[in-house]
Amino acid sequence: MKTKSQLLALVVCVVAAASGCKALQAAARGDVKGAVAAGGELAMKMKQADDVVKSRTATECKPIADSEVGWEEERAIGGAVAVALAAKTKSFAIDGDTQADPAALAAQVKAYEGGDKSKAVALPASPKNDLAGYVARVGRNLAGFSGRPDIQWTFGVVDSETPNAFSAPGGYVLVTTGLLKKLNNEAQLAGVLSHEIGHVTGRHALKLYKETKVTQCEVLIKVIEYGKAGVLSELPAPVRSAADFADFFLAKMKGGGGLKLDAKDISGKMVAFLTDPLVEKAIEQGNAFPDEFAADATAFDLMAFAGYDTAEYDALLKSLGGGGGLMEHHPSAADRTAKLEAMRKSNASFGSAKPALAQKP
Amino acid sequence: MVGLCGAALGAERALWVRTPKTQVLAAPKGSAKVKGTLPVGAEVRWLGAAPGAPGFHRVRCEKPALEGFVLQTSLATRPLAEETLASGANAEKLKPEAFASSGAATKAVSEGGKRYAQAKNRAEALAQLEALEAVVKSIGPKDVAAHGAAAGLPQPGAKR
Repeated sequence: MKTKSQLLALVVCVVAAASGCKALQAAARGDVKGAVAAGGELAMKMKQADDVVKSRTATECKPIADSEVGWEEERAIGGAVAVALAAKTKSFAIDGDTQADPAALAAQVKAYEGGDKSKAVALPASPKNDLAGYVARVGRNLAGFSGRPDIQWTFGVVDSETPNAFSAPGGYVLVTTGLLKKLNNEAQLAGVLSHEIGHVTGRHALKLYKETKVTQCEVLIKVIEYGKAGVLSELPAPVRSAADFADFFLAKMKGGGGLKLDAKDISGKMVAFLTDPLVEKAIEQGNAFPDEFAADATAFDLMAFAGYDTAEYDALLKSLGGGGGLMEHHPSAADRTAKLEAMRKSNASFGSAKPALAQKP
Repeated sequence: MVGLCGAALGAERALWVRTPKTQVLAAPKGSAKVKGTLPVGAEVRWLGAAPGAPGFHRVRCEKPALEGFVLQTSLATRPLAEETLASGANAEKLKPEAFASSGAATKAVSEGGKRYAQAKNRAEALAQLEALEAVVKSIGPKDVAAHGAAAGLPQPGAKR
């Protein structure tokens, strides 16, 4: 049975948020004064470190929020996010050598990139691969009419029964097999792809990325300052693991000209340090509602300009209704279709001829 | 270059030229007289889809004054992003480092993405993503046009 003094010392430990602290050891010995002193010392060190972290964060991390994310950085983080999304949901819905031997397909891609453009990379014939190619053709056509027609767009189908669609910075657009099953026609697929294209062209995910950079900048400073104060062990293990690159990566993040994630001295761990919390944030939080409406407006224009019936997009949103998957973290279907209807009334749709065309130029 | 033709007026819609030396034609057909050309990024007023001529739109440029028909595939519905303006035919006018930063210079999954995949043991997802990128890259304008024709989308030369 614990004595009163031992319990008091334990409370000190809890207050100091210190597992395995000196106070606990003192408490085990029944040394109340020692426990209180050790707990107090630890709490003091952490408080001092926190003050420095707060001060440094204000001056060193805030500017990151205002910095522009250039194309190379966008593409770099986008590639990592696309890999993470595909792996998280399950895998891409493509058949062939890839499932058994990723290296075989990688070699085929490398040969194509190496210059032999006559041999387009062709996936083995299969229903899944036909689907991937089909989605890619529909998407490529639509993206050509966007504000970023020439970036390397990549459209993929993810093997997941949850109806959903994702985009990642740099031109990655993914739809799930579950969503494809819910579509009635190509116009609805065009609506989904165009909406995601709208997120990419609007650089919406880069807002979350910049928020993530600021948050992780603060984490790096915390790791550094807790290390200096000798209290690093008080941080959770996943955070502590950044200690081996904290100084280096913080300097890179603060450097001018954007963060060069493709640079040779940037490790996969460092990329993951930004990518993983970004993916979590994107899944949990989604885009801001104004960005969702903006993506709908882009979808409306791209569909109309390409020649699709935009009413099919409204029909899809209504059929999906509320709830998880595609509609999670989105405005209600009613609000979205109301805005689409307002666009229809206030703007001429790109797909329609105008009376002025009766006159010849 | 951007805004060469002037912004759209009032509620009128605007379009942006996405291909170099885009021809403005006197009639909505490829063999029509060329009235002038527009550079990448030029903003034009949209006057409507050409009736009876799928795949063409009638546009007007204020300065220099130019009105006529332009192929749909030469137009974008939003202002072109910086990296697009720095790519394609414009690239030759740019310094190498500027071109390297443009979308045109992009190759496959980024190094950062590859290192992430290695660190997280996602080799299969990476290989699949690289394959999908290559598949999309190998889809040319002819493939897109063929798909459009099959899907019944407006195509130059098709009957409406």
